Amino acid sequence: MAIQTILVINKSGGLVYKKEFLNGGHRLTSNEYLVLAGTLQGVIAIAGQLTPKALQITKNSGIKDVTDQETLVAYAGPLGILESQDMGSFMLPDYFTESFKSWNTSGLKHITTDQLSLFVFQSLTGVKLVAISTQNSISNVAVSIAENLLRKVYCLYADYVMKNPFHEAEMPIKCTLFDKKVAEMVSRL
Amino acid sequence: MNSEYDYLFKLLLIGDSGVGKSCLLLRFSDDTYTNDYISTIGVDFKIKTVELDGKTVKLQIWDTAGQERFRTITSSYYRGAHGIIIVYDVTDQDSFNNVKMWLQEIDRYATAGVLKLLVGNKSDLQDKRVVEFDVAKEFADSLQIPFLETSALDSSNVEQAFLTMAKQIKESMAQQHRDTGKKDDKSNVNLKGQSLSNASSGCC
Amino acid sequence: MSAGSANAAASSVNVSSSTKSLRVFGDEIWKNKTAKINAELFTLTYGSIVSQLSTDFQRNFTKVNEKLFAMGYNIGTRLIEDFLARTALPRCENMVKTSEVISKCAFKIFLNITPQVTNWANNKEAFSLLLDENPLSDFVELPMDAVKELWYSNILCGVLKGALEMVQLDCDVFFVNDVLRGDQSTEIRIKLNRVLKDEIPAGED
Repeated sequence: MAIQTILVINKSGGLVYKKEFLNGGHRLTSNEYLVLAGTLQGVIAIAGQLTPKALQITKNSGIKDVTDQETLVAYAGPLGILESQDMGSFMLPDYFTESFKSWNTSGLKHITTDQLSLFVFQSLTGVKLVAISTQNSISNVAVSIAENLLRKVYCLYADYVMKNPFHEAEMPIKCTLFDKKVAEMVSRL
Repeated sequence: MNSEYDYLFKLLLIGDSGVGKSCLLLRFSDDTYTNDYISTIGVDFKIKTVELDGKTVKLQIWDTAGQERFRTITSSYYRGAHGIIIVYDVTDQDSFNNVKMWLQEIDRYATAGVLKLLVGNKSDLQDKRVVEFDVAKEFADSLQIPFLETSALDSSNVEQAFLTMAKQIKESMAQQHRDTGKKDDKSNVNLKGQSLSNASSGCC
Repeated sequence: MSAGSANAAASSVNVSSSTKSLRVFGDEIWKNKTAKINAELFTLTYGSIVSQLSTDFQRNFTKVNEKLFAMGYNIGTRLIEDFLARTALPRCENMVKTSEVISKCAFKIFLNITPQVTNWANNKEAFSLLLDENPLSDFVELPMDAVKELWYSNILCGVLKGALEMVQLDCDVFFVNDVLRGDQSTEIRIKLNRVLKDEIPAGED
């Protein structure tokens, strides 16, 4: 899967990080990316409300069962993380080796067109990590690879952005280390 | 360096349907303006890049639909806004009366201490005016919200107000840095451009 | 709280092995997956901060408490992302669950202690954490003028406050007792004011 773009959108819908990996093709301007981020914020909110009422009721009244496989994201392997790549405080060889539960149970997770797929990973704090890939697949494998990748990006974010004392909350990410780590990870996919 | 901008401020434009929010934005000389989205997801964006103290600041203005049918997702638009501009139409009494309702909405959804600004639009239509300047001014003063009127003929003060707001947001961020974690300063846009005193925040 | 409900709460945490309890889950992260530093360096670093603040504020310990809290708050708002990335725990459906996660996972992972959760309010929205040991204050004795005023480890309250706020729980967090002041126990009180419903990110139910 070729990753074209990684975005970080803060909890208020502001684009705070953008990294493009493929050369050529039509590029969006930085303002267009800002509009994209804001639009996604709206679409995510709307998507959350599209869940049929019947489902919402069963979910709320019923016992939340973790065996509910729908909310599980399968572990997709180390995704090219090698001994040599430093994942910050998330200790190697691979910090995660298990499937995990997605927090984003009723919201938007993927958008697909014939040309590309877009994947969204949202944390409990509201920060959204977005990956755009040049593959139009949202097969289970592609989805779990994307979510595993974004989960790892989230770890890098927790380390190299949030633990950088000079990073201002909710503001554009200007952390060269984060930039470098994300690029390394994507290049190894 | 990844980002071409150092700061990103979220400004929100609210007010009744038809008071001219989007027109107001059009007059604010633009980088990017989209008007394709508003009917779909209830918000339009306008982005303005400004330089403040040598830093590049992007003002992303969220122009929300005043219509009732978009109410349900409002909270996600108010979230994290740095500044909110409430617009009414000086020729429409209801739109002015509803300002109170909009202020309640701000109290409910927005961060405490968010900067506010009240704007009376269409002030060139003198013969149709129903909301007097003095009435609105008094109302705004009582709530300690800065106020201005604007029109298609003269909109220079709008641009000024936006810039002043941006400056104050930046200052209040620096202030918060010094206060580390005290988030209760209730500051407002100061249109006279005086330095921000932030008297209410317990700065140490 | 009863052991039965603790188990019930814990059993729904880890996805691969639903039998794994929060305690085991927290222990495992602490043991195998967390980089550690020398405890003395940590204690000394914190100690020098508190002592420097006491000097800076001319031994106005109310101000020192506030400052420690504010510093903690800023740490908490950042540390929460680490905690969530590391544990991938889902949202807690109530404060009972929250208390378990704080005690068995958060304190375990970051400080290698597991405070007792106790003194529940009737409405189950306020509880206390009893710290049997406190790595921040291992070697500390408060000077006479500080003993009635200073909450030496107040940074912890700030961290909890900041972290909880980021997951949309508006809480009051404060020290009730501290053995450094001659109290029987070291007790932090956490009281839920409200769940910031409007701020819960869209897409969660």
